Amino acid sequence: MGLLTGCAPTGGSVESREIGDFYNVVFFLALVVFVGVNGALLYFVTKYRRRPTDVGMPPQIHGSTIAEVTWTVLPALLVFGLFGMSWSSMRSVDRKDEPPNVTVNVQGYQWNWEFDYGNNFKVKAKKDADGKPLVPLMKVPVGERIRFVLTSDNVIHSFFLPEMLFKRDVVPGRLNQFDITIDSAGLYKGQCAEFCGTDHALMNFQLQALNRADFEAWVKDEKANSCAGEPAGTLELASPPGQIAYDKDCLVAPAGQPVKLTYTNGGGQPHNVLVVKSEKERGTLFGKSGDPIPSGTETGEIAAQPAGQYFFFCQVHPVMNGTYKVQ
Amino acid sequence: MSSIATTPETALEGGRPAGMSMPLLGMVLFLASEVMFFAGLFGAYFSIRATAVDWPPVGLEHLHWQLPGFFTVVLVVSSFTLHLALNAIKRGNTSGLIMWTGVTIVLGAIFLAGQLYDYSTLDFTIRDGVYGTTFFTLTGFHGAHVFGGLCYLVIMLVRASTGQFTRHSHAAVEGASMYWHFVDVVWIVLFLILYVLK
Amino acid sequence: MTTHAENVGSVSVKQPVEAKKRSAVLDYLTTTDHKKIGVMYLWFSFGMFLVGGLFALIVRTQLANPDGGFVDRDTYNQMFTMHGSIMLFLFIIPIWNGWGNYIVPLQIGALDMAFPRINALSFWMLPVGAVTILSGYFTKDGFAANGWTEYQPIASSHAQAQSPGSGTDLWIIGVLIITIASSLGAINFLVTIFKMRAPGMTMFRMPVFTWNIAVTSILALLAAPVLMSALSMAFIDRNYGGSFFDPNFGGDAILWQNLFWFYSHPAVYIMILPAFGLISEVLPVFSRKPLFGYKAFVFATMAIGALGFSVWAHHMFTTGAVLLGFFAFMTSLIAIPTGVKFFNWLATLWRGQLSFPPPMVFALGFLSMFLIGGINGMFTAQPPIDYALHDTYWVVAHIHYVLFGGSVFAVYSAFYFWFPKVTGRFLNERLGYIHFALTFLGFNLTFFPMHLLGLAGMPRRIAEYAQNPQWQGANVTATVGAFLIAISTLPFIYNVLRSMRYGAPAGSDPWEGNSLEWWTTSPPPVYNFASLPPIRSERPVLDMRLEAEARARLEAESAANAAPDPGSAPV
Repeated sequence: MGLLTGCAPTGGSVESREIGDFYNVVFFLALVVFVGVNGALLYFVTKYRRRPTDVGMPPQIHGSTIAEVTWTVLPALLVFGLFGMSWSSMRSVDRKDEPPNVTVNVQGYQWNWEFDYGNNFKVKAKKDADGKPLVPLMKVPVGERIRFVLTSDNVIHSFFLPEMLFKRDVVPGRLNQFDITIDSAGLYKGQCAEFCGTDHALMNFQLQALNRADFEAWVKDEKANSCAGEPAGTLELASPPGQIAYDKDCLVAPAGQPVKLTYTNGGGQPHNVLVVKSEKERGTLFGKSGDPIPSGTETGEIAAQPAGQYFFFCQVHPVMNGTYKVQ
Repeated sequence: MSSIATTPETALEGGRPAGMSMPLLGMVLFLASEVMFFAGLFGAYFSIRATAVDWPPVGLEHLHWQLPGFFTVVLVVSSFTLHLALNAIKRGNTSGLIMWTGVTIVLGAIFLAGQLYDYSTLDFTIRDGVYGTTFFTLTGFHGAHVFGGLCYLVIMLVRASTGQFTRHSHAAVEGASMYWHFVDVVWIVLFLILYVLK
Repeated sequence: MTTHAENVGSVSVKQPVEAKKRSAVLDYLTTTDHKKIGVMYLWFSFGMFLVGGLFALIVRTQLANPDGGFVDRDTYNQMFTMHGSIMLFLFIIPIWNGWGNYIVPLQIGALDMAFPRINALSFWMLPVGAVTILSGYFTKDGFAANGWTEYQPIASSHAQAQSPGSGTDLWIIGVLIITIASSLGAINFLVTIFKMRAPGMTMFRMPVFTWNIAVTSILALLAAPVLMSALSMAFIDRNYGGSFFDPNFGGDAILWQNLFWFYSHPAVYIMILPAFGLISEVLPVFSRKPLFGYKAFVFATMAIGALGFSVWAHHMFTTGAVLLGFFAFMTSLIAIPTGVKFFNWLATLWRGQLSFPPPMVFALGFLSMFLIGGINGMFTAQPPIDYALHDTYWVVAHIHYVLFGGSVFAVYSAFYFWFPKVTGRFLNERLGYIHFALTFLGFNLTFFPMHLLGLAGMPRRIAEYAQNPQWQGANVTATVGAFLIAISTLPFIYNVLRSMRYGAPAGSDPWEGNSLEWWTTSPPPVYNFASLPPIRSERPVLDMRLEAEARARLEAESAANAAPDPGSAPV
């Protein structure tokens, strides 16, 4: 038991220190109970050994109401006190009364993670030379409130940050969320904690907390790097029937020449596609604003653009979006 | 010698001969476990239905209650006829027991046939999403219980016609009647939540 | 009379005739005698303990190395699944059924169980269930591999691409068979206890072991059917295209956990309450005192049983789908009756005359180890701490301190305590102490380091931890401990096999016991009792012994009076 004090958890986030402090309180109480009960046990075992000199039976004590009441009420008070502390600690760890600075939508799948920061920015596992996925790395700004929104496409996972002393299950059909403020910069390990099949053990990720400027630079780099491919003069984009999604989130076009774009809606949901200069400016390069098509194909031309990052999205479902990259 | 010698026979009979007989107590406890089994199914049904956006799902209309309502009445009546059978044997009237048990079996069979007919009129299956899954699982397990009850009643009928029950010895009839009432009550709840509750 | 054993018709202990061997086997196959069924339960479940242990050794060997490599990941998943399933469903629950079967009718002065044939049926369903589960090995994808909790939707139909194979279907059917057997057994115990008590054996004179079997049976009766319904749903999802647990088709992924833990949390008490009962038999006998606060103890048992039904969601604190406050509060409440039990046990020792044969040593081991299992559970009962510890090795440590440090120590204690009753011979004491020392050491070596691993964040059910080589030290320690536990069973097995024939003969009441099983011969005759003593308290055999002693003293004194000795006055 004594060993455990050395390992009393400390964390890298505001919430984890709250949990760690509470752990230490429970640990102290546990130690008192452990030493008290085992001490009494050892004492009784040595003191009341049956001796050759013992005559007849020991006093036949059947019980004592006072004793029973005492050792019902005292632990009850202890338990109620503990519950009170638990309640307040829970409230403070789980509070969501402040809006977060960054929201990361975490999608768990068998057996890896995808981190969606919104605004057409997703972090996925990169692949090594053999096409095996590597451990994905997500970054968040230090000292800011981060909200993780968790979901899964088929089975239950658990988003576990051991050094933050926190996990929350990633459940298909549910959006679980929690807020966390990481206040020491560093690289932290993360892992799936709910058994999810063959490669459960390999479902790791990394989380790096860094200052705001570095975080923003990283986002910019990642965005530029994430949309890559061979530029083509003829581009195709489609929505699978009934789904609220495009089949691609990245279109790559050559610089300085017009490009032909064909969009096909598989039906079931009305969609359209607008290609714009950037998410904020919205100078339309392609598509008719306010005119969703229920199904079918729309073909058009995008005028020659200088190299750079552009944006495309669906007006009906803004979650459908992607990068139009000219290089 | 100080001990009061008792024979093994008195030990078997136990210290408290009064109250329910052992087979009946066994049946009561068995039904308690059955209640928990259906509680599990009902719990699943309600937790799914409570979170469902559309119930029944888009494209399906609410189940018609009229025909199942008629079969519900049939099943409820069969509970009364079995009660009459039990009353008959309590008075030592074996032929009454046989007649009313026979009537109960016929009514139960009508209910089961009606349930199967009702299945054939539905335009969804157990595979069509959770609505179909819960419907067929709940009614299916209930139907299996009715079928089990019918087997029990047939065996009882055979035993009755060979004169195995008397005014003082008819625990099996009492057990059957308890079980049949239980199955009946489960159906009434099922009927209400599946067909009536909107 | 001087000893009650003389009352009872002597029954031959030995059956030396070789020709009778075959008929003895046939006898066991067809018996409805609660004692023989009890003995079969014990052999079967202990055998399953060894099988489950082999699976555990494979798991531990794999984890000795951060890269795993002893077996592949799929096989590893099968190994821990089988370890958990066998230990819980086929060892701990049935072995207490075995002791209950043997001892409860004896303790209440009954001839047999209420429904002897159903009793035989409930036993024989167990091997059938075991074979069904284990036959998964012969299917294409091997054993079931989703953990003993069989969480959905990973094990359900639409995710079958990730959980293929009939092993899981066989697992579901096997567990279904075992749960049906368990509810039938519960009905049998309850009717026996309510209806077949000897004259004078009121409810509040019943031995505490019998009381605990009664509460256990109520839990099994009411909880097991809920697991049956959940298993049926899982089977329908997998095989008939149902979608109870698949949110993509309107189902609910958390539903399984609610139903499963509604059974499995009470099931933890099904595994531990009989152990509490056993300890409450052993401590008074070897302290030569009554159990302190008998009624408080019984009420505490009932309270644990009742609260056991309202705490299931404390296994689901991190799902984000449960009322944390309510379940955390109810869970904490359970600490109160459990505390009452502990204090009563300690007070039983207080001012006693303690002796330390192996059953007592294992019982004391239970007290100190189960205590840790209770304490480390109080950590995970607090939701904020559970956020850190849930699904880590801390939880593995917790369940093993409860079920090994608790139940298994008590099972061993029961073997040493009742073996003389079952066979008429003692287990060897020296081997018993060696067995205890090895078990105690191996157990703590295996499971204590898991607390540290849990705090360090090692999730359970991972086949390798190459990213975290710093966890290897504690893992290797645990692996060494696991092999020590395996070795610790050897002196015990040898002891049992040898003592059945050559053990020192034990009389009908070798420990100066309290309850009725010590009244009849060892082993008891087929009809259990030739006679019963008057039952005036919860310790009828002790009452008779004291009475006999008092009479002997009186006779000695009156003999002395008869002699010409003017100095002594008549009493």
